[in-house]
Amino acid sequence: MKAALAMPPLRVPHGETLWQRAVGFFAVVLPILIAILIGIPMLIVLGELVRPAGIEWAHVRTTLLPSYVRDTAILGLGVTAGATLIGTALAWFTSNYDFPGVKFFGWAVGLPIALPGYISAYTYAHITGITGPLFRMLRGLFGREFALNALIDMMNLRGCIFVMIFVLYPYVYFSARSFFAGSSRHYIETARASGRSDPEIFIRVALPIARPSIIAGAALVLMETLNEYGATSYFGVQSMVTGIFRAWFGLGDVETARRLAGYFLVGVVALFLIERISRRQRRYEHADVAPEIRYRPGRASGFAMCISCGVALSIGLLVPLAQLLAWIGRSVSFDSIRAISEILFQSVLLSGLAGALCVGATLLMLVVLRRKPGTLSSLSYEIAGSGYAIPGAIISVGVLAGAGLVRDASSVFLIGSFGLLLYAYLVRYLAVTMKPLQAALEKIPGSFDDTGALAGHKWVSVFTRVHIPLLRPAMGAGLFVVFIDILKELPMTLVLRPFNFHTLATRAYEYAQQDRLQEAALPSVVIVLAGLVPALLLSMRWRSHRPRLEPAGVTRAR
Amino acid sequence: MSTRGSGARLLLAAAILLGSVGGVSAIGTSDAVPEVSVYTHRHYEVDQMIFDSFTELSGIRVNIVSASADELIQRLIAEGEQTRADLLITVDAGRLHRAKAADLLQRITSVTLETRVPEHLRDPEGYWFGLTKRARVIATSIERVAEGSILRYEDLSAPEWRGRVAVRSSSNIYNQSLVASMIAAHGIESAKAWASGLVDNLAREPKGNDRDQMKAIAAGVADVALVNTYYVGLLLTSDSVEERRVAEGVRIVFPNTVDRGTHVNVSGAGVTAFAPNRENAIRLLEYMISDESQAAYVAANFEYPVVSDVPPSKLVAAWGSFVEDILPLTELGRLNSDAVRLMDEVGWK
Repeated sequence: MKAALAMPPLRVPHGETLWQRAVGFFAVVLPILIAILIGIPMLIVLGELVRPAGIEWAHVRTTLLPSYVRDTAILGLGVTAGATLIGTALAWFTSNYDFPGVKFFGWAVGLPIALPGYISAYTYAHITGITGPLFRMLRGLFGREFALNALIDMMNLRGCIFVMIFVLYPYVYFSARSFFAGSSRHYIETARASGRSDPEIFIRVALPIARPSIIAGAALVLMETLNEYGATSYFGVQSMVTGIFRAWFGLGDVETARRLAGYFLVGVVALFLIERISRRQRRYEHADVAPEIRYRPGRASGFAMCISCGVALSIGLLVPLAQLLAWIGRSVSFDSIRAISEILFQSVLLSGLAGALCVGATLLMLVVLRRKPGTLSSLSYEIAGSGYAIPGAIISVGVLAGAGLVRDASSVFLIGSFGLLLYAYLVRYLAVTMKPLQAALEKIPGSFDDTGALAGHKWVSVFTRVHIPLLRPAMGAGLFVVFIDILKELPMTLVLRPFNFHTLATRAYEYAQQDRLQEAALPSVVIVLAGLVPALLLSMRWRSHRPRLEPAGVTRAR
Repeated sequence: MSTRGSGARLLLAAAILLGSVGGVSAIGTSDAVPEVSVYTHRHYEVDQMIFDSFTELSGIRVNIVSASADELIQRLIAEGEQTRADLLITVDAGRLHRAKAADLLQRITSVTLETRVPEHLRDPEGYWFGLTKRARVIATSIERVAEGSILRYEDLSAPEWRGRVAVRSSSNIYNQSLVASMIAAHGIESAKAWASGLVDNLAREPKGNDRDQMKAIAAGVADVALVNTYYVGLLLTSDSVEERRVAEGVRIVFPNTVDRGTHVNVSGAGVTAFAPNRENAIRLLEYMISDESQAAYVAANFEYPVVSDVPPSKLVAAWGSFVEDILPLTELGRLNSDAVRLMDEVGWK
């Protein structure tokens, strides 16, 4: 077995070259710089907690907070639980079993991630509403009275949870999938060889090992849910972020808005720290690259797997996509396509660049964390990875305030530059690459580091030669998710962008804002299409990174 | 596939990328083309058309950033004296009032603007001017509500409408400014009692947009709804038969024509305090209230012109003319937070 494939041969060192020293220096200094940079907007938010409260704080606390906390808790719990369940199950199916359509679903089932949540919400509200196709069909079949009574009201907390589960489960899917498809297989194969049943293996072996990856994905789902404004406000759900914007937009009190965001941030960081501490004792390390073995399930269960993949993909993407395409069919013109293709290029370029930045910054920070895993570095890492918990609009206020300080101090004017926009993306989206990459790094045995050190390698060199190659699948997944996230990003892009600059998401939003969904459909669908390419690349990587072999008695993946 | 050294290369590439991003600075502004830069909350295509024809006419290039007014205000604050923005355009008067209070706008004296924009639709000190008007009207079911049975906003809290009213969230600025106008007319306590009565009368929790409130009427969930005329126009001209049917099923009532008039708000604009192209900004502002531009707004968007000698579009005119509340719109800005607090207290979600 070519188990050592992912581990490059270590060269015998002969003294430290200037190059190695430079790398060593940057590897130490840069992460600290990144942490400070990322920290600035967050400090501005957190600083609000120790300053005197804004004038509207008392009002917000007494009249709004109780109901907001309640709705936020239900929404966050519901969506996170649902998305985690579905994402984990689908990742398990597609990486372990040879059921009908597994090759297609392996990459397709993650695609709903590319559909902006608020677009899905608007679309479902239309589909199930009085002007939608469902009503028209029922009225045609059974008459108006029947159709009116049969109308399902999606526009409430339950509907919101439903819609968001199906656009967000891919966060867990990608995180868990890169894990299941990667290096956890030996435990699973061992359990299987000792005659354990499939459900038993899943619950008693795979789940505990995969926990860090699943939690990493679930954390992203939770933060994404808590930050959703478009879908929640349209469906009349009073989540925390509604309160933040209400204090700011309605009451004109940006301090109170930041204060709410600050409490929010503290809560989320605390949640993550508790989780981290609770599993500190349990670590599963394994880093061999395992053979790709897919088992052929029983007929009924294979069919059930195929159906569940199909249902998730349909609800998450195909149904809303069909409606969007129907709208495009009615409103598309040559001009609109030309305008969108111009935007497509710059949108993809920006997202790609920002994605690469996030992955790069994550790696730089992970080097240090691996080397010196103290409480302080963990905490700073945790904070740097929590920007995702703050609504983008609040981050942009922090970024703007920071840029204002820079302007006062040095007359360097950053506002309206791509640099500042990329910086804001980094603050918010670093978590997207950090969480899964950290989970993947934790699985790499410490003995690898020791071996490298024994061979006389500096730790930076061990990281670049051993860890990074092993992290490739997780890097690919992280890059993809952050690419899609930024492709969809709205509040920060809107306010921080240079003059006359548009992205697909800002275009879709501008139309949706005017309640012109037909025109919003084209940019929304193009976002999905733009996400398709990296999704395909990613799934090809998963395949190419696994050596194949054919053990007796099992079916190899086709 | 070789992995030797590629990790180090990746790490280095990341470092270079990070470093170079720090070096990217704002795009230079010092070219010869005359220009004017706009921060706008209006995302409409017609705005772009008007900017384009302004450029054609004057040779002045129009640069745009569009986002919500609240966020653009934060950007203006951070930019301070170095802002490149010359004009701030919002979709309600309250935001302009807020920008003025934060010292982000400057006073403009322009005979054209002062004579063409009615007094109550602009800042009395010349800091901002209305561009287009929107009226907040009551849509009633033609089938279930007799004509003339609801005439005033005040009626919405009457017991006969229990369980029959649909309205969107109080987060919406048009609801906030309507309540602000109620405070201006009746004082806080009476306005609160009214809002409380309205909440008691709701057919369902506030949600969706104005279009959805009319759909609630079509679905028989509600009988009356508070909507902006803009959305009625959108539905009436939709290319979906079902949507047109929804709009055809409602009657538009201009409330309070018997007393203070129907509540209106404007989208408007003000020249920023540190505008680098002040004169161009004034020219653009004047162009936006020219007959030509006003007619373009009205035709594309079902808004009302602020200039009285430009007629509204045919479709809008068909709803009939109305008496408008001439409460100075600065009052809406002043009372906005009171309105929001009041709605919170009565549980208008």
